[in-house]
Amino acid sequence: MSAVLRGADGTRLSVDHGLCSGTGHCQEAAPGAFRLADRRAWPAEGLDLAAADHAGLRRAADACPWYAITFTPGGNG
Amino acid sequence: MPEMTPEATRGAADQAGPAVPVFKPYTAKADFPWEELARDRSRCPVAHSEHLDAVQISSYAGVKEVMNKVAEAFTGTYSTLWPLTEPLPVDQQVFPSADPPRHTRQRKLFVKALSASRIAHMRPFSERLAERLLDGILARGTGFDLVTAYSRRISEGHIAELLGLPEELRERFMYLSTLTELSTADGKGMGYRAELDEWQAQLAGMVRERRAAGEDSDDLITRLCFAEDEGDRLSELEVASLIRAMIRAGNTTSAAALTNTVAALERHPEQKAKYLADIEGLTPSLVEEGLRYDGPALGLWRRCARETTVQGYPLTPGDRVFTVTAAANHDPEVYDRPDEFLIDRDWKELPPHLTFGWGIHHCIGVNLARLELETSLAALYRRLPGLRLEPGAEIPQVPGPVFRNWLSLPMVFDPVSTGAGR
Ligand code: SF4
Repeated sequence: MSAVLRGADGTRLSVDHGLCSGTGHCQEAAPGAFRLADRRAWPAEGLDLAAADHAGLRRAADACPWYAITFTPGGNG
Repeated sequence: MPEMTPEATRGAADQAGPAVPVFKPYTAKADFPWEELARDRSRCPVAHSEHLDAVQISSYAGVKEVMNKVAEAFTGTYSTLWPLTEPLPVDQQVFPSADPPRHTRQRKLFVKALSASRIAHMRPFSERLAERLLDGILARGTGFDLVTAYSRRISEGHIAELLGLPEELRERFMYLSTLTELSTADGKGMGYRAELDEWQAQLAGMVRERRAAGEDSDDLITRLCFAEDEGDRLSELEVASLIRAMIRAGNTTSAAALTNTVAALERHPEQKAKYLADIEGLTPSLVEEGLRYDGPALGLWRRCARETTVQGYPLTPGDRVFTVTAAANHDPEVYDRPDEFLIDRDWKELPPHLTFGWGIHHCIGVNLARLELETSLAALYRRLPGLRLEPGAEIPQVPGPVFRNWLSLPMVFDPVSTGAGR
């Protein structure tokens, strides 16, 4: 079970809810890109993935201590 | 050094150079160290401590900065529990004492089994265990030691269930896991070496046997025995060290968290009354406050591996640092009324306490620990009427700089009428 968001340019951000444990490292690494609810992280509502800070999202994926985040830039990102 | 008021100390520091830490956990570990720690945190949040022979870091920002920089500038291979002068043998570098990429490989073996969703399935087990232990306590009279009759039973029951530990080994393993805690008292860890080494060998033997028997069960130990890393199995000793670390961490730390929370609640009658009036609603925030106010870790050791700074304080390779989690959790920059125990703080709005750490080594047992604490605290206060500390009982604190744990907590409760219906 995962929370997945796709951008107009094919960029994809997912949080694997079989792993996520709600620690919030992703929020700190990529401010504004995630919200926490029910001890799980979700891509923030209205997040425009094509325009988002990709370096921050990559940092979030690296920082997750549960390896729950997959970030795949699309287009020429 | 004579007792000084904070003002006097500051005056003396002005004349005699930079302030030095007053926290002395080896020789004068106070049952309530918050005042000394507050003094260090405000006067010298990052400073060399002669007593610890290490750079002592006591502010929230400083401790978190170390945790964030662990991968780039620090190593845990000299152990986080003892201030060793040589790295641990490679096969014994596990979890906090392993660095990436070794650490990442080990951690990946555990994240699924310990994830929030997987641990949530253990809730019925967890509730049954607490009820069963309390049935026993109620049947035996109106007094008991919380530590031996409840806290340790709760934590060993959970970790044994998770790992799939055979019944006949449980008692001995749980006893051995408490030796690790005692061995941190003098910073050398020598006193119990022989017994702990023997345990390691016994666990390695168990790994060998499981491997010989084949992969016929789905418990965590079996899965570890057969886990592969790029086609290679982990060494027997590495698997043994991982199991040992899981038992140690799973057993002693969550038992301490439970004991410490009960001790805090019993010493704050107005908070306890509040809790009894809304056990269901307040259990999650009681758990977080217990972990913040008096969590099972006082502090941890690390060693600087690459030139860096912490809050501007320069560190060079080989420097030993001691991060005082307990001080960070009482930092007034982060928490209002930090030295007060307030069970209804709004944790959705507060920065996380650092009891579970932060960064790549964030406690992997966090979900299990929260589950255990929630079910066991709620059941304890629901089932035992008039529960209180035994009047006049002396309660000892574990020695040394690393752990916070009341070693026994004698308690009494009112007799329950055992009429029909129970
Ligand atoms: S960092 Fe990972 S585990 Fe923590 S909340 Fe974000 S996705 Fe979940």
